[in-house]
Amino acid sequence: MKQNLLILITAILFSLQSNAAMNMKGGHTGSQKSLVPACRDANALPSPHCGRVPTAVYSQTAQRNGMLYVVFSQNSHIYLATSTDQGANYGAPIAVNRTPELIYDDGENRPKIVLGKNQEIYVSWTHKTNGRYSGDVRFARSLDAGLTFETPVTINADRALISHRFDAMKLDDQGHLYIVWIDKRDKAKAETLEQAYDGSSLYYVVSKDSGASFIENTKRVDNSCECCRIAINTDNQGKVVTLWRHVYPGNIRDHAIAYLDPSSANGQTELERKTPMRATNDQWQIEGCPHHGPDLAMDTQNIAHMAWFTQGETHKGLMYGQFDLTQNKIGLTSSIDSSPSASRPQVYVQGESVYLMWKRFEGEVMALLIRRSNDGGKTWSADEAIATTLNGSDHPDWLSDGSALFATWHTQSEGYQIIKVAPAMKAAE
Amino acid sequence: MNRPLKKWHAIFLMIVVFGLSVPLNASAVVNEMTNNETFKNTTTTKIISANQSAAPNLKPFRANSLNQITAKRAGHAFIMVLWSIDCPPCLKEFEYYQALKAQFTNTNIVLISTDSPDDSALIEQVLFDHQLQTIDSWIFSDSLPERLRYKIDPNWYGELPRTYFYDADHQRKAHSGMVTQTQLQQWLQKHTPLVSLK
Repeated sequence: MKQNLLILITAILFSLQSNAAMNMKGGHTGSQKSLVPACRDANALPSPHCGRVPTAVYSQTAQRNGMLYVVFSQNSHIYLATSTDQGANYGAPIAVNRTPELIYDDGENRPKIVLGKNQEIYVSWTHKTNGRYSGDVRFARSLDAGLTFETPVTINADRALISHRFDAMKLDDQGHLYIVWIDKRDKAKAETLEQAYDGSSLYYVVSKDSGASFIENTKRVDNSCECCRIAINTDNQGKVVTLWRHVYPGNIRDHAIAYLDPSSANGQTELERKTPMRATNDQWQIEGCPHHGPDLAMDTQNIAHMAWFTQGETHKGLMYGQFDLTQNKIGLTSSIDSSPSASRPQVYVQGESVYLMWKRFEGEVMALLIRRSNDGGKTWSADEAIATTLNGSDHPDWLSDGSALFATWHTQSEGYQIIKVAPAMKAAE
Repeated sequence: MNRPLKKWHAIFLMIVVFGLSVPLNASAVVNEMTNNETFKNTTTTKIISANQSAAPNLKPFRANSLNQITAKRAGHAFIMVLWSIDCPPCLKEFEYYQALKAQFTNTNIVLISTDSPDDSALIEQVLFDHQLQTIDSWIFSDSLPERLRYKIDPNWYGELPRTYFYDADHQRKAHSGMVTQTQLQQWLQKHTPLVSLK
């Protein structure tokens, strides 16, 4: 008994070790307890200001046009709060998971919200299971515009206490709901067989009945990086595209891009359609995961606009680049900010306009910066700081109401901010 | 990541192992300390941690802490190691420090964890596990950790482990990634020859 326990403890300690040479610390760091005065009130309701990692979307349906939906993590719940005045005030939140559960809410992991055409609300997140880096992908839906949520379900069929995390979710043109995540089951299997296996794998599911059921867990690709968020978007046909940090041979952790459903991809053979394409070529060799995933926006010509972080041989710092999904090749690539204190780049495309947003520590304050291109990413405006903070901050994100573009940023001292970036500029169809 | 669990985990481990260590007597502990078998080493470390009960003196690293660290070491060479419990190579590197433990003093090395104070229990546990609990240790304590990174080195991207080799004049060389045991030995021989006679 004693021996077994000691072996277990030794095994746990050993599992923390590897031959890796370097690591990057990421996600939220430091204590992130809200410093917003209203949040210190013990009777304060959960809110996007007081909770962690809020993620927002505007409804554009006829019934609820302009209603803002925000999901966030607080006290082992994912909550949904709504606002009719652009986030100035929120109604009482509703718990998406009525039974509390531990939740990953570190920035790279955050709840996702997608609205369906008929007032469906889909929410996904990652639940912390027992063990270091372990987790399960969770999903819950509401069919009554957020009045009630059905009991959450676990999406990963593999229930080992290993990593199934970094969920990403998107609807395609047919209203089919895709959820993709990073899964360690193949790595775990390789370990039991004493075989080498780099990184993790990407698995996904699809629901064709508004989240009532999902196809079986389907592996999309082997050898993804273990702990960088997955970027997801749709092309000009509404097909789902994903971008992720991959582990290329020799521990080169550059990015790969692929249609989530291989049948959507170009290619003569099934193998060609299945094979992800290398989207960035930075030659970043790192034995360890940087906890710093990419962002992806698609334009009407099916050019993928990408923003990412690298410390590669060929590029260093925050990068912007394009990948042409009609030609399957890398296009324009340029540096956003190579300073060591720049992080969390985001990209957004609206017609010919491309926007970049990122964080940079400027000696005393953390600034949120914006840069804009009016010619599809060839030339750029000067950087503009749209917000600053003296304390901790979340990753920034984009929010659109269909015409105006906003930046959202959750900071420890200011709460959840929604900052207008651009006036109405609807993409030309 | 996983912060509440990790803390819990560490506390759980300490409770479990303390419970186990009670029947062992002092001579058994001494015998095990000379044994290199990892599994027994683990036991030994836990016993030390349980018996000493006092936590390592983990100091909050704030914006002015680097000045304190260097001032205390004026005229002395030292190694400053930035590490995190989320960094497997850092823990691997700790094995080298553990092996050279006898040559480290209060002055010639300083460890700084870039985790948050919420992780103190697990950090202390890791230090005990590697018998590094007597080394001058600090933990990042700022709501904006980037501020501390910047104070330490505006050119550091945050990669770990990150090691700074200070000479006696406090000219420093930065190294990203693991250092080798040989590198450490050579540095110790060059900069603290008297200490190595200990």
